[in-house]
Order: sequence, then structure tokens, then C-alpha cells
Amino acid sequence: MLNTVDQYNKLKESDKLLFGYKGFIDETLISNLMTIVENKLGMVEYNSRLKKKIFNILVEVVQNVYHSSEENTRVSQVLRNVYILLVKRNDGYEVLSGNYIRNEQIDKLKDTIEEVNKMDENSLRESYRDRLDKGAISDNGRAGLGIMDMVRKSGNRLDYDFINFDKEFSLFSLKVNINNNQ
Amino acid sequence: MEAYYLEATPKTPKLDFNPAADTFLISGRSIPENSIEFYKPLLDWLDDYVNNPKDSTNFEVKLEYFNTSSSKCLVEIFRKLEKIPQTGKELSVDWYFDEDMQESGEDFKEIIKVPFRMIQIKD
Repeated sequence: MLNTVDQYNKLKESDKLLFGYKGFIDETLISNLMTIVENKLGMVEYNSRLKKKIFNILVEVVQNVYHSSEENTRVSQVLRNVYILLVKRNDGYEVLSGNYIRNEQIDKLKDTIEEVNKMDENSLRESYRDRLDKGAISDNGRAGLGIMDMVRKSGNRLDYDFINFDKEFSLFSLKVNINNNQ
Repeated sequence: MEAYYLEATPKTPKLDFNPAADTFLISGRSIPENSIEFYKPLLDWLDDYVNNPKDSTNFEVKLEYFNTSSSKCLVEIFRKLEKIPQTGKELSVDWYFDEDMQESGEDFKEIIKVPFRMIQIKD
């Protein structure tokens, strides 16, 4: 079971955690976070192509969290927290996100990820192009393109899980694995 | 017609659309959270431009990288430019790429109906 909040608490003191954030995010904060991540990556990863790939994926993950997290300011602070983690493994990196979503959003999100996870490289390319071609500007399916992009760039299926929080909300955890050599 | 120019920032590209110059240019990175907000003024500007374009328009794309929401706005930019050949004027697009931007370029080349050249950047 993937639980980004657990991962965050477990890895907080670890050297493996290159970057970890817990809290509220807005556009200014995201800019600052990205600058920190980019500097940190610059210190630990010398392969510029891999560095760029990791940063790209992180941008997409953060954007996904930013647009799907709860905007309702009346809900408790806990539910408005998002988690962003960049973890170093021996054989690569992991980008994790965690945020709370409404229970009724789960099915659609799960279907989107499952559908993308099932595609091979060719069908993923076709679907991506099709969506880019037809879905321009309209906000529908925005998450679809982002999810596809994460899989295309990383070359790996996404790990994810939903953990029930209460009758209205669940924690959505997402993990993108990025291998050192591909 | 007045030029449309924006300096690059860490999250948004340089936009240099000057009808008095040889080429239009977009360069840098494009990762704004709200890309529609960022690109809307340019799209409006292009709406005007394509009504009365120069005899020949060259558009250079030299992007380091962009997020998926920017890619939808790029499609919109190309959709506007597609109108230029319909007026009998010339249009060419040059997509500069390093190893990472090649696949993205091929995505656009596939779905955009304009003369689209892919040019590899040498280190």
C-alpha cells in the first residue's frame, strides 16, 4: 500500500530524502519549491538528461497536486496539506505526492491512471497526441495529459493508492519511479 | 502592428513576436501553473496578426522544456498560425531540439498542419 504521508514521516530524517514538503501550496510557493529542487538536483545528479527528466516529472506531479487538491478553505488545515517528496534510490529516483481528494473523485482518477498504466509505448503516444490535438485549451482531461506525460517521461507505470480519511475525503498517494539508466 | 514581447522568467518563456523582424521566437522554459492566463494575450495578438500577416512568417521554437498545460497552449498558437497559408502567405515553423525535446517535437509535427522543420541543437 502506498501512503505518501507515512513515507514523509519515515524519511524525514533520512539522507535519501532529497526534498520533502508538507503544507499548503500556492503559485509563489511552487516557484520557490522548484528553485530549491533544481538546486538540490544540481548538487546530486550529474547526468543532465536525467536531471532534466526528474525535474520535468516533478513539475507535472506538483501541477497535478496543485490543481486537484482541495480549494475549499472551510475544510480543516489537515485536508489542505499536500506532500511532495523527491527520494534518491540506488538505482534511480522516486517522485511522490500526497493530497486529499473528495471520495467521489476517486473512481474517475483511478480509471484514468489504470487506463494509462495499461498502455504500451505506442498506444500511449497515440493517445497523448490525440488528446493534445482535440483537447486543446479546454480544462477537461487536463489530468489525463499530465498522467500520460509522467508515464511517458519515466517509462514506468505509476504507483498510487487511495486511503480513506473520513466519509468525505481520502488521501491520494502517487509515485513515479525514474530509473538511472534508460 | 505593434510587436508582442515578453522577457523570459524562470517559469515562462521569452516571447518575441515582432512583425518588423525576420522571425518570431519562443524560447526558454514554459512551466506556469496557469498557462492559459500566460498565453492568452499572445493568442489574442496572433488573432490580429493572422488577419494581415507578412508575406513570409517564420516561427522559431527553442524551448528547453514545457509542462503539459503549456503544450495545449502551444497547440493553440499553431492553430492560429495554420490560418496564414490559407491567406496565400508563407509560413514555416522551426522546432529546435536536443535529445529531450525531440519526441515532443514529433508530437506536434504529427498533429499540426503547417510546414514543420525539426532542427537538432548541437552542443
